[in-house]
Amino acid sequence: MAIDKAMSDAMLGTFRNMVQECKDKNLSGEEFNKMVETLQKMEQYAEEMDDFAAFNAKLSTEGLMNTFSQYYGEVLANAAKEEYKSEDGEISDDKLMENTLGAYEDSLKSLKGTEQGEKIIPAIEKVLELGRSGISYPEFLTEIVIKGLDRALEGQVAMRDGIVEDLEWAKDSMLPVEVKMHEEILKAFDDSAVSSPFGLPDSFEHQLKRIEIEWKYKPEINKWHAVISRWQYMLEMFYDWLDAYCSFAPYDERWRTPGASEAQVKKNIKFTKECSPGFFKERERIFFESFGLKWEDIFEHETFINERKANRFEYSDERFDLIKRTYEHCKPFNDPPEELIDEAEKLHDEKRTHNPVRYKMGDKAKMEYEKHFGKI
Amino acid sequence: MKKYEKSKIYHRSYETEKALYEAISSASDLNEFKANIEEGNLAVKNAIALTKDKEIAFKELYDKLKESVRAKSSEEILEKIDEAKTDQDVVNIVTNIDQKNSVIIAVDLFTDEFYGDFKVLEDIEVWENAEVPDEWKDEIHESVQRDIEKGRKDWQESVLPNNRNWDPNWNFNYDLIWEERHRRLIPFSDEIVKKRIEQHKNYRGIN
Repeated sequence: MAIDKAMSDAMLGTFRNMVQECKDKNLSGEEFNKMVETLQKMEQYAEEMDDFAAFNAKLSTEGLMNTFSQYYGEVLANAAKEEYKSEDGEISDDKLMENTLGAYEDSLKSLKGTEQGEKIIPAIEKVLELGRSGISYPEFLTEIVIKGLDRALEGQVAMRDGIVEDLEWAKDSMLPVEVKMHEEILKAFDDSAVSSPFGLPDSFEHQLKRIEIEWKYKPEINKWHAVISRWQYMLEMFYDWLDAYCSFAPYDERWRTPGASEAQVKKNIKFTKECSPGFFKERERIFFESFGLKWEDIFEHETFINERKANRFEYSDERFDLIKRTYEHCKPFNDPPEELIDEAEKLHDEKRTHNPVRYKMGDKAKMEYEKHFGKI
Repeated sequence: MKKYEKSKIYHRSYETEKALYEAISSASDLNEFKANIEEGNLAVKNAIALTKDKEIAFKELYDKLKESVRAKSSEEILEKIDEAKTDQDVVNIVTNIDQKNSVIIAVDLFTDEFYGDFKVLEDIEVWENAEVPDEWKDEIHESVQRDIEKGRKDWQESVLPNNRNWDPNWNFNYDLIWEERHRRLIPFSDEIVKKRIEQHKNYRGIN
């Protein structure tokens, strides 16, 4: 059975288009034949295999996409050499200039109206102006480098904007470690620009710095999120434990799982009531063993303070306070006092258990998304 | 040439760009210029120089970061790049070696799947050690066994086949966890990592 056609079309469509493009231009030769053979092999695998992940791995491990691209490059390079020749068979500078300027004019058309494109268009217009000024092709190429237009065309302005966007996103999302990382990446970019001969950083040098900075922060990012996920789970256990004693528990999806009988629901509630304290104590031990943090340390910890500030904290202030007061009672073979159960009951009935601002995060995220990508 | 003049990275490129510049500036006409370029194969030497500069920079960075698997691509390119006779040769050498090593890097990254199992290993540890009423102990034990069976089944039916699509001989290698490039990403002490390794072997049925 073949790979799902929609998936294989998505993967192979670009390569098919490249072959067609060459056919439309009447390109041929040994490299073209090898290009077609490589595509045929990919098509064959798409027919013979039924697992997309295996298909993707096959194409990658056999280097088929890479091989295709190499032959495609050679086909185009050979075609260009012929195209650029003048009548005496020599490479013509005028032809080279004509084709170069034509390519830039085409790119102008496709970039106009796009957010990223608008940043590169001034550089392209300068290149076109230079090319039409009457200078020779070698002079044109030299001037592009001297004026730093080659770096502008690499999209350095857009690159910086991309870094700034990443930083703003990290700030909006209140991810302090990611903010530190992106600030450092931006500083590295700006420092490189200052020290470079034409005021624009070399993209490769910046790439090296970026790799190093991201490498540096990865462990801290992992630790930050590891701590959050563990205390989140611990708080949830208290929340569930107390609610298991409430009158609404039998109707709550935490215990009334799909298809569960009444007996099963009762059993689920009993399990939470009687086992959660023991489970919590183990979680508390593992949390301390992992991070050197006790229960009470959570609320002063930078991850906790940040999550509350970022409105990613699940619970209302009242319900959170109740969770904290539940702690001392959550011991194996113990039950919570009636007054705490009554409070949980009341907060649930009055719908005051969850952080009301947390639900508004959806609007903020939507607003930020629309600011960057347009209206949904 | 000028853009590389003071660069800490592009030493070789500066020299080859300079050679190109001198070939241009010493030529009396375009034909002589063309002859100078072709005689010395200066354009290809320029491409090779740029490749060397970049790959040396990559290798130095990855050596510094102890990313030995990522450094291999640059090592191999530097060994082979002088064989290039044309600009297309330069492109092919670099892309073929990068492509081959990208698979090796992908396989090396399978080691990070170990950390992905930490949550379930903690869950099992909690369930196995929690102080609970006797009436629940058998059921909890059975539930843990079911989770372990699921973990082993997933390993055999999903993880191993998927990863062996990339390397037919792949098996999880616990020694790799201690390589700095992997170890540094696990935010837990060595004692905990050692414990999780033993738990992981049981959970995934790896001997």
